[in-house]
Amino acid sequence: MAAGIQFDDVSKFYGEVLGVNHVSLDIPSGITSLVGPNGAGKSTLMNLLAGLIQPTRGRIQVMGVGSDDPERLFRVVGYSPQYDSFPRGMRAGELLRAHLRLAGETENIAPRVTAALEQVGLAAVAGRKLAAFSKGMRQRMRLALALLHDPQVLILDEPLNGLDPLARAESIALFRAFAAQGRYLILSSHILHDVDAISDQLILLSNGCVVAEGAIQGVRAELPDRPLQVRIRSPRARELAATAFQLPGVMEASLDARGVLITTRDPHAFYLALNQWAAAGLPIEAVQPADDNAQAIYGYLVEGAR
Amino acid sequence: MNDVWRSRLHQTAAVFRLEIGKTLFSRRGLWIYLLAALPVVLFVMAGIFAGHRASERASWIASETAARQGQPLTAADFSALLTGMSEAEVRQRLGPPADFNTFSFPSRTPQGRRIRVHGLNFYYAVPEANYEITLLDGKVDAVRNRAAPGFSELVNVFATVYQFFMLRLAIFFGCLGIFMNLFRGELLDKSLHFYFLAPIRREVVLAGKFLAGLAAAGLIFLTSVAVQIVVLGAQLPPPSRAQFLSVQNGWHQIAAYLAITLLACAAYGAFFCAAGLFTKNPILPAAILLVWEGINPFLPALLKKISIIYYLNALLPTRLNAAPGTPSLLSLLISDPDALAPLWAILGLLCVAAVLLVLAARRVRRLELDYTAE
Repeated sequence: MAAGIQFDDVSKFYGEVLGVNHVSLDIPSGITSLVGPNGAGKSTLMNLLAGLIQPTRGRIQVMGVGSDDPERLFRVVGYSPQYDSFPRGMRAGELLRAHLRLAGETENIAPRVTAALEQVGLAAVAGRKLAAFSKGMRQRMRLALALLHDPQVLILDEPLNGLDPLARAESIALFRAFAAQGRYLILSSHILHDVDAISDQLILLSNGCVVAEGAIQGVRAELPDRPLQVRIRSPRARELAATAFQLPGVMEASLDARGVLITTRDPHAFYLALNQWAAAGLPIEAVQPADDNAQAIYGYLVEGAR
Repeated sequence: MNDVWRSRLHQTAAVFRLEIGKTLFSRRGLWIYLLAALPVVLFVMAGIFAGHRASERASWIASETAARQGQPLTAADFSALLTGMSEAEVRQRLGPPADFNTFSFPSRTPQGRRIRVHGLNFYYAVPEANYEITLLDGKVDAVRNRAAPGFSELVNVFATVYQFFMLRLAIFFGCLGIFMNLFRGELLDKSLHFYFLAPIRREVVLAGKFLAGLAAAGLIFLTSVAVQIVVLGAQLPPPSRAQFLSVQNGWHQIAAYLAITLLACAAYGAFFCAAGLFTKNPILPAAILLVWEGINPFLPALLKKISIIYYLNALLPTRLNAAPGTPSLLSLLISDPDALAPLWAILGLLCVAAVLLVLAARRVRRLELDYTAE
């Protein structure tokens, strides 16, 4: 089986409305987050990947399987969409059993259902009707369905929506464990803090186009025209701020409870000067980039472009 | 059978199990049960009414016979009545009628003067027949023998209800309700992705859903037809019933009606299943098919064959004959002179259903699930 997920010049139009345009991606294993404003094309990209819609142009391969072959595709892919209208009147365990039977499975159904429910913390409510489930429980039920057949690729549309803090933490741990096995997890989220916390890679979408992709630090490094923000902790913060502000390229030096936040257009010159100040005896406790996160990148590439 | 096909068979069964319960116990489908039950209720009510009339008739004959000192009225008494006899003469010969009604209508004299004619119908009964005597302006105008209904009359009643209500309305709209919802309903409920996100060919989903719809429609309408036959049969005296079953090939006719019902469910089901995949508004294809099926008898021979009712009519075991004097266009609706041989009709129906299902399979394979566009 060929590895990886490839989008080869994929475009999708809904009549004259653009879904995604000229998307070429080679998504590696690990956790990849799709980020972008509403209407950017995140759900379209996920639906294309799951074969729920077909590209107007281009080709998609998931582990060597075309997205137009559901019989083979969903042996390797699990998809948890935003919608969760389960068949009426069903109980949690019953739904998972039905799903396995749909897959043509006839053996070891009960233990697999139990394992999937345990993975998402719903084993205790296996006999409860789905109609009585809360939003968070339904979210976890969708995750259980996606995980049921032990897929290589997991696609999750807003998987942390509606979860309480404990369930969020458990879900994130589950995602990390899944990705740590060398598998592929692709998720979309509006909550950029979550994206920072869990993602190995980022795909930033805007108006149906991929505007950036790769590891978060790598994407930030590819934006040299954007001023760099550095947070420095020092017991002599006021003196540090005043000194730094004298440097050419430094646009701003502000003080707050966490230290000095410096914004510079010339990171190279700034880091050189910082080394000199440290060598001259200025006490420096910590230096941390303040804008190589998803929030900042989103701001630069999407909001800044508006 | 290799593993792939065995697995697909299991998958079809899994879809069937999920769908049959939904289809049979859907609240939205309650009206289908009512549609199927309607002729049964009508036949039961007609049976109760006929039973009541029969008992009244028997009681009247008994009392009339007693009043005539054991000399009941006979057919000869009615044959002896002459046109122009007065009401008093009729009463004198036959005694008071079991029932009567009055009516009037406008007319003209030979001189062209407008008049109003007053009429009277007298009803009498003898063990073997009922008689209706019509008097106009107090004079006997006609004497009619109304024989008690036998199995041939009931067979015609059933054939009429089956041809014009069951086939053209109940099964047609019932299949619309059941099969159109197989995909369209799930698209509206946003629940189709439960199937489309499983490792299963979409054609297999279609097969499972169609078979579930066919089983549900078959169960509902076969039960309705069977109960109608039982209810009508119960209205016949046992000797007539036995005669119908043994001499008149009754079992063959019953089997034919049941088979036509199942074939109608399959063909209309395939049409509505495909229509639910191709259109967003089910009313439009249903209306087009209803009109097309309605005008089928008046179409040229070639166009007739592109329909479902043409093949179903050809299979009907009872040919209804238009009454003498019926306008030719109307008589075409009742009996089709171009009817096919049954074998060709069955093959034609199966071909129509197969073509529709192949179209549905092609459509479902390309169907895109994008709920934001719904």
